[in-house]
Amino acid sequence: MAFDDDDVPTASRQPAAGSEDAPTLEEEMEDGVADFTKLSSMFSKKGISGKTIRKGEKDFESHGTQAQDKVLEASRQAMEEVLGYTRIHRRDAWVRAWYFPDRFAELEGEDDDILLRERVVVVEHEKGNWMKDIGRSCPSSKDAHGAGRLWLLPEEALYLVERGTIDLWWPNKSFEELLPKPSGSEAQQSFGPDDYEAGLPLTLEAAYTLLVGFEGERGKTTFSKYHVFTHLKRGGFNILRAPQNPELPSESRVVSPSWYGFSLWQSLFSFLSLRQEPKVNSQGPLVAPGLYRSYHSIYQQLAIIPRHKPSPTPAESTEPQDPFKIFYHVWKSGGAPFSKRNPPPPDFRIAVTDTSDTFVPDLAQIESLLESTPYDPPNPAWQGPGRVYQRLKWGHRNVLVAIVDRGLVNFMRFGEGAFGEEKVYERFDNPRGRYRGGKGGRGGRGGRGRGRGRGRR
Amino acid sequence: MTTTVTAWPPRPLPRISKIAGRYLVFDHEDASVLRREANTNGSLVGTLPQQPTQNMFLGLPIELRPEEAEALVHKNLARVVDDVAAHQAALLRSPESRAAYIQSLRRDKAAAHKVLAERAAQKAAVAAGKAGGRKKSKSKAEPAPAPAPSDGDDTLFASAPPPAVSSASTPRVADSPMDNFGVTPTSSRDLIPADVDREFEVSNTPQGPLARYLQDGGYHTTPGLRFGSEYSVYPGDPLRFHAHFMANQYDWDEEIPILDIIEGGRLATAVKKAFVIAGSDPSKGEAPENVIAYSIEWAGM
Repeated sequence: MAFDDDDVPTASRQPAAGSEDAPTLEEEMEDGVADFTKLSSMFSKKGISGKTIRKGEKDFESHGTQAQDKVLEASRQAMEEVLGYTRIHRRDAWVRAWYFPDRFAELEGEDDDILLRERVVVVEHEKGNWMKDIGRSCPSSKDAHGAGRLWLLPEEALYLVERGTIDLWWPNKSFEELLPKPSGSEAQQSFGPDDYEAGLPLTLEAAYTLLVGFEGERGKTTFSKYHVFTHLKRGGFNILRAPQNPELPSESRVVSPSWYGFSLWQSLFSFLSLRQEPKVNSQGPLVAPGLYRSYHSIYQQLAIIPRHKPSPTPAESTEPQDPFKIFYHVWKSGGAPFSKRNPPPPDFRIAVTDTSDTFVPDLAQIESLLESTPYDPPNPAWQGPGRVYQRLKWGHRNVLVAIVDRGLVNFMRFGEGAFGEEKVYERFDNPRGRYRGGKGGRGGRGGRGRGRGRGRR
Repeated sequence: MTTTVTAWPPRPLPRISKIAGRYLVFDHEDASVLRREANTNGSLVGTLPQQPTQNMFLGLPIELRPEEAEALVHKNLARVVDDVAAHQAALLRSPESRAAYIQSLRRDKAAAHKVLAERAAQKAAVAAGKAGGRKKSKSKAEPAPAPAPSDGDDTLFASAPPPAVSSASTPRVADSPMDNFGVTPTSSRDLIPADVDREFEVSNTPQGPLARYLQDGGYHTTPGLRFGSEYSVYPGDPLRFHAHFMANQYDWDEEIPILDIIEGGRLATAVKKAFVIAGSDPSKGEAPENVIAYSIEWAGM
């Protein structure tokens, strides 16, 4: 077979035929429809993995051998088979949703705490376990007829269509006809999956055209936001849109006591040392001549540039602007059961940017973005010089910026670093490692030059 | 360059949907035609319905760069349609005009019904075969005999009551298959009538001379993001081959910072590739003929 010259062309003439059973099936379908060669793979979930598609090590270039062509052909066929899959919904697990883009279009912003204005898809059958962070029920105050129906945001609806969970329909009839009150007369028969006078099942492509748009279009998401959403959902995270007018969560006002105590101690310390120092001459030299018994008093005089000091309550904060504005709140999976009504403080806050129209944020952009997140200082247990880098890396506030390049999603973490809070020179006066007085018990761990810097390499 | 497929029945040009400024391919056959015949693979950006909880291998749609789409249109290898407008027009038409689409949905449902029923019967046959102490040697290679118990394989079914098994795995198989399934086709091939499709064809797509040049030369490209350039350039299908070049496009009179060249050259050389800079000379006709490209390697002396 390997020497058969006809082998490869035959295979390529039926690119997705998969295996030899295809013709048999074709013969059996007598409905007059010819294109059934791909039938068996069309509904099969088998054979999807990097291995079946990418076989073995890649080559540098084509060397014109049949062996190479065959491996490539096999990869392509495996891929085509996977992509040729058609989403089907069995009746017992069938979840239909309807596209009603204008039901809440008139709703005003202030009154709309669950973003009903943006919710354009209503779920008819609520089945499955995907609802823990997706969709919100409409309260009866907003919609007397459709009270209690689950409404989806555009990214939620499109994601569910794409993963094959819901069957999205374009309505031919009014909302009231299609979705009668559940409490009403049972006699009213609901429409089945073949009742096309009620509406039309939409394709995935149609769902994209209806649910993805440009920034600022009501009832649509953007491609970059959608890609971030699906990337995280596929990864198992819980994700919700961030509230539009965020009141900073109460945690921001709580100052970690030990951290506060630490800086108090520090300022007391510096106050004591300052008193012993010679007067600083405004004409220079930078370090006044005199007798110095510690590095500390010299470095103090050198510190003439004011440093950024993170504060739990920033003095003046400006409103963050798109795209450097938190759009999603994200929670890791696992742990306590997630409640979309009363979500705990998020694990991550994410702003979404796209490589095609965004540049590196300037200082004002990143500052207002960071200041819109709660104060989140490093863990108070991270004391001592050995954990300088850990503290610096964590920062006092942090935010993730997702950068999307044609569906490829990258996440960058920006932290409010406080280098001014890490006075390396304080260690120079305590060569034995009695770091910051009083904490003698731990001092032994950190001496001069310790840390994850160069010394370790 | 690679295997070409010529024996396919004539079909319309691959269709690129323009949605919100992006260029997407939804039809899997179009995707493979572009891959095989136009050396354009694009990036898979959708969730794979068969395995929706991973980010390693994604599904349709395929996203193309605007200039990639333009290069295809320029060579008459594909066409671009304003898909939002086309869908609005198609969906707002009279219900009668949807007959073809409904027909295609029913065809898919019938197919699904057939395949699933066969699969269930096959399972039943295997179960029955096992119960009867037989090996399941035949059933895997031959799904066809299973739903036809009247001839050859009678004995398989004689040993166990098959109807019970098969109806348990696919309830109400006997009902109309139309009412048993919902279908979500991936592409709107059957939803958008041909005249609507033509009406909303898009002609002005932003062009990139280098994209035309690479497409014309038979190269495949992927986003260069991972190596800090505009394109990663492959000598063949990226499924099989490593990239040879990291390529950037510059304007003809653009001053190129020397640091760009050093960065690109060092980075590309470090990953066993060459760095390519290219531009098109506006005084010498149009791309791809007027494009000049240089490859740069770090000598590392």
